[in-house]
Amino acid sequence: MPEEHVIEQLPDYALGILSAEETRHIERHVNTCALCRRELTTFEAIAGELALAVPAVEPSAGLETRLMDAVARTPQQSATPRRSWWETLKALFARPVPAWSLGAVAVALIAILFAVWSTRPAAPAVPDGMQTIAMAGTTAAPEASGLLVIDPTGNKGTLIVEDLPVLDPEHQYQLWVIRDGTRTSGAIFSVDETGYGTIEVTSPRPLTEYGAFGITIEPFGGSPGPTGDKVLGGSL
Amino acid sequence: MRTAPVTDSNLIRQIAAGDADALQQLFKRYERLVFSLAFRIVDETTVAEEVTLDVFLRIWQKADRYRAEKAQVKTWLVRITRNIAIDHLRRNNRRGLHAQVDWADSAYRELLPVAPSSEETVSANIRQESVVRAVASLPDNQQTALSMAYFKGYSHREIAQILNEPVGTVKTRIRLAMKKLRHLLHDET
Repeated sequence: MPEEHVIEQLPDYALGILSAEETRHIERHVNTCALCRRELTTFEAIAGELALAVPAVEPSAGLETRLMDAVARTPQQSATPRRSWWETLKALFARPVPAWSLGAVAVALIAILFAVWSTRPAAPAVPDGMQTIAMAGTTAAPEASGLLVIDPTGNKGTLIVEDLPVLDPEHQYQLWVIRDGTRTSGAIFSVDETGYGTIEVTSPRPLTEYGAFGITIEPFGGSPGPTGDKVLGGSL
Repeated sequence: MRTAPVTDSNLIRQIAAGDADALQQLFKRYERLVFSLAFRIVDETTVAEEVTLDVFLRIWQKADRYRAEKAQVKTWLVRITRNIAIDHLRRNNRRGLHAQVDWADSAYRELLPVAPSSEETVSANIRQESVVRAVASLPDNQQTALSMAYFKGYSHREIAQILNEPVGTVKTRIRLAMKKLRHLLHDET
């Protein structure tokens, strides 16, 4: 049976005032319904035009200079051609890694995430005993992607996620590490307004002993077990 | 022979390719719109300027995320501005300080928030006037509910609590307001 249209809620969606659950419902529907998608475009245009009904105020004269100075110092993420995920990983792991450094690896892996975002290949085996697990978005977050990197000892991991929906203040994401059907919390986190986040992962057993990993939406502070929609999943 | 101004979409494409001059052009076009909206939300000049810088830096970094088939550049900019400014209020727990913000009234005649090219000035002025009139034509209670949602990001429930009204009443007011704006600004144009 076809899903009911969501036209009544589209004005609220365009204003950005729905709960995370309502937002996901609308997004799922408009992805498959041309009528509601067209209506949404109209309401979003209205939300954009409402800014014209704001009394205009002049910013200070130096703002443009401040922006261009900041631009000169800010690397543009989209301007550099993306290397393939495998090439980036090879370059990363080819370097000598005398001591595991979560921070350094997290920074280096930002580039990998952009490759993952565009190609989403299966995670390759990597040298030096490190393992990577690619996580793919579910229907609840089809554009999201993630990468879990586990250090050679298997005891530490870094999770990097991108393009996850931004949640309302009452909810957070929770990573579950799964072994023999038992789900254990590995991290609770939020993402920035672009949907990006990098998180340290901890677990009672070495991460390499878990066969699968999933991320769900949970009430703020996390849950004892998964209760919300699954947004990302991957397995060793 | 005069050349046609570069469209907003083309500027975004150039920005995505690393052209800082294109970003500067986009800034000149929309700095007043972004700053005015940010100021209306955060109510502090310094913070509104920081929000404005954040918005254009975000465009610089993420221009390749723009999808022309989904929204006009102006709509995209406004959405980013509202997100960043309202996030600032939430983080600093400042939404409640000025929960209700007035729209410009229909007698309002000031600067145009967008800096259009000279060819577009007349039509942009007319459009702004239409939007201001359309908002002013809404009943007061619809204007209030809409402004609390638009400028502060309050949910139906939060607005209902502040106004001491049933949630259903608030939902209806916001939806009726948006439908009337749709009728006035899109169906009749």
